[in-house]
Amino acid sequence: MPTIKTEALSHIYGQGTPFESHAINNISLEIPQGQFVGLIGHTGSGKSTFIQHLNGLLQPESGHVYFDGVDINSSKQLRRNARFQVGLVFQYPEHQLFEETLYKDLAFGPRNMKLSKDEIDERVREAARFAGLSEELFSKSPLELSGGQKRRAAIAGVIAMRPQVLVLDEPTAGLDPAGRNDILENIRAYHKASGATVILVSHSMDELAQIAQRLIVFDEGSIVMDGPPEKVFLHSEKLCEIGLGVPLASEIALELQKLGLNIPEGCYTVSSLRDAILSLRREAGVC
Amino acid sequence: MKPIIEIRDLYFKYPEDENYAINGLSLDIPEGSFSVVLGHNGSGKSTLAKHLNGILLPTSGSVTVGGIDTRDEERLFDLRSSVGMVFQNPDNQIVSSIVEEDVAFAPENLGLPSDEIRARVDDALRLVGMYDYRLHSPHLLSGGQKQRVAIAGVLAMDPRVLVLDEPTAMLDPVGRREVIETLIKLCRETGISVVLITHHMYETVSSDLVFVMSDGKLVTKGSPSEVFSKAETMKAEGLTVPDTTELINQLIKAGMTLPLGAVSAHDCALAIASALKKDA
Amino acid sequence: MLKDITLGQYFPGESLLHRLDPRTKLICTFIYIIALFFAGSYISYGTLILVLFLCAAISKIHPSAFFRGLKPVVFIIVFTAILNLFYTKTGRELFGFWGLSVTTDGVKIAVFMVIRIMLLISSTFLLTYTTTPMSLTDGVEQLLSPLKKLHVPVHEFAMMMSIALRFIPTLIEEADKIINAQKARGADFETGKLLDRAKALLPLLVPLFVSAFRRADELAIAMESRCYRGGVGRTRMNNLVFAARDFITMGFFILLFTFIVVILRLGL
Repeated sequence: MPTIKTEALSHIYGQGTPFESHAINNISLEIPQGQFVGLIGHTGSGKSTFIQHLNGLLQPESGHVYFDGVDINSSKQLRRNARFQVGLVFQYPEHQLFEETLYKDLAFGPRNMKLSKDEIDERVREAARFAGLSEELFSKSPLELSGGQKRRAAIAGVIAMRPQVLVLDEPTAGLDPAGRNDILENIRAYHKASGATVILVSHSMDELAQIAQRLIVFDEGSIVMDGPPEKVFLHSEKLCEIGLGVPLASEIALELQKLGLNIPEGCYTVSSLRDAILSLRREAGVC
Repeated sequence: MKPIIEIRDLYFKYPEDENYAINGLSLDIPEGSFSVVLGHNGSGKSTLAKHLNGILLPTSGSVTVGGIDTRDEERLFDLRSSVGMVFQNPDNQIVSSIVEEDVAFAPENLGLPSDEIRARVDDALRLVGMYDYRLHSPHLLSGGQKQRVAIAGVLAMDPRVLVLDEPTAMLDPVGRREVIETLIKLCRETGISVVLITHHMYETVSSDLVFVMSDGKLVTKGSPSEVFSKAETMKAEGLTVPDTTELINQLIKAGMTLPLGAVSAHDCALAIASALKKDA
Repeated sequence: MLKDITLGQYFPGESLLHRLDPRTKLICTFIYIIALFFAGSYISYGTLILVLFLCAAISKIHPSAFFRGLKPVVFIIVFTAILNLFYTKTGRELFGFWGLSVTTDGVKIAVFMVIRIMLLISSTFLLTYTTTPMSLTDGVEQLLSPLKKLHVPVHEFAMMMSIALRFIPTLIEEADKIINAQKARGADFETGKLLDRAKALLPLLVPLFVSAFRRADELAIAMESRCYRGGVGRTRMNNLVFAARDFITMGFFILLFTFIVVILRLGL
């Protein structure tokens, strides 16, 4: 059974006003347990609206959201449960830190779940470990942490709820390359260790190419592509048309194909492209 | 030609810190150039930016912009009006609730006559392609548009240098492209000097000169292709080179003979194709 | 939810009211409100209602905007009406219960009070609906500028007002984001006892204050970088200039005021 399923999900902003706009329109999809999904689309494509439906923050104008087969909007209690089952990390999440100490802030989610003190403690420590935050920081004010640490603390605050689905909206926005890699590595490790479903929202094709098993492309409130990265990146023209482009490595592969070289389809990372070029070289008889 | 910005043995320490944020930096920025300062977070690049218009003053050493020493209090407003500063968060640098009134803010502060202000505002908005939005409210614009309004807001001072401190960090790819293209156009068409501070490597592609900073010091400088060819140095500095450069480096390691410095996908593909032909 | 707040809302337009100098509009609104307090008869209230309707029609702003604006103060209006209804002892008694009596004068005064409050509020709405926040602050600054001689920081006051107006939408948006982020961590802003609810606001208020201070800091540096040094030596792009229409409008309102006062004296 799929963890998350949406059925003909639609949401309209400002209904009945001149500013009426379809934020998302008729979205149906299934995401099985444990999948690492990349969600891509430019600003205003509806991806942020979509993810806020997954944990019941927004309620659909029409359509349904199912979690393990249960419609999350069928009762108030179920909708509240969805908040804990689907952990949502917003853009610039460090702006939500508010407690006096890092420990207390990490415990905020589990405390709202009304867990026992020991259970909360265990989860806080586990979440900090996943986010690469040492326990020495626990007694510090979250405001004293460095920029990268704040970001990781905010993500850990959601992980501490042990959600079965972790949704992250642009978790690397505004970070430098080193900070970006750290966060992506943490997420990758968390996905592997916890077996949770991860949905990563991003603007960056290069970022998603490295990490996602499946790519879902949003444009103007609808899903325009859905598939494994190597299939999605084949449609480079269409992707450029909607202002997204393909990873640089994919672009090089396309340029090489145009020059008549026999580069196999689906090379979208530097390492796969390097191997393809080196094997061409071997075929040509150079050792 | 005389450099527009001269930095000599600059040291700077924040009062609350033990270490120097800028630790012995000397560099020249040629007039009319598009220069990029690269560095990871905490490398001192934002501290450097704040030195360029006298918001911070050197602990020791000197910063001279267009012949004005930043420590010269008498000429502080000459300095500030000749160095336009644009910051990371577009929301926190727009003063007014109407685009054209925001752009007018700086020339109003300079005490210019009304018709001169009007002319400068219109020119500045046209240069960044935001003239049609002059009566809009900034909070309804996209990030890229807001940042272009912020650029117009400093262009209206008629500055000689434009300094931008991570202007694209909070933008989406479309916004980034808008901002970078605007900067390139400004630099090439009006001859204004641009100093772009960033950690996005690909924003350096069309620049004339790249400076790489780390721990308050200059690590390396040169043309974009020169700097990118030092992939190992860049990685050690917590920066990444574009995948084009990364691929060429890996192929060279595997024994191919390739020129370093092809940055665009097209150039990179051409270089690889011709190398393969030669090998065969 | 917070996005519904319409503070200092402005409806763009090209009408005469939109084009009037903000100072004219401020002065006329002021005259109108004073006149409102002098009014006490059917003729004077009738005239003032007519003037407001006329201005609203000229502004081409849909009447529903005024009704929406009045909605939050319905309680105050009803409360005032009831007080006046029962506490006026003069006039002929119409009916009474529980020792309270309603008189003809009571009804009259209650109706007048309701009309007075509604006109008062609607006239200020007409001002803000047709004037951008910026030109409104400009107008206030100019009108108060004689006070500068008394060392009243008029420019600083106006600058504060315009920055506050500029950041209202930004901070509302930010508050919405933080509310959502905390809700995603299971925060509950809607249920519980009063004390619990007050406590539940902490996760919203702390980040909001932190961010407001960060913004203030960055804005200050950005303003200094753009050569801001207070009001001294500062010029304006759009200098406020009175046009013929401004003098005519002001003349009209002075006439209106005189008319109301004359009516009062004549006891009509």
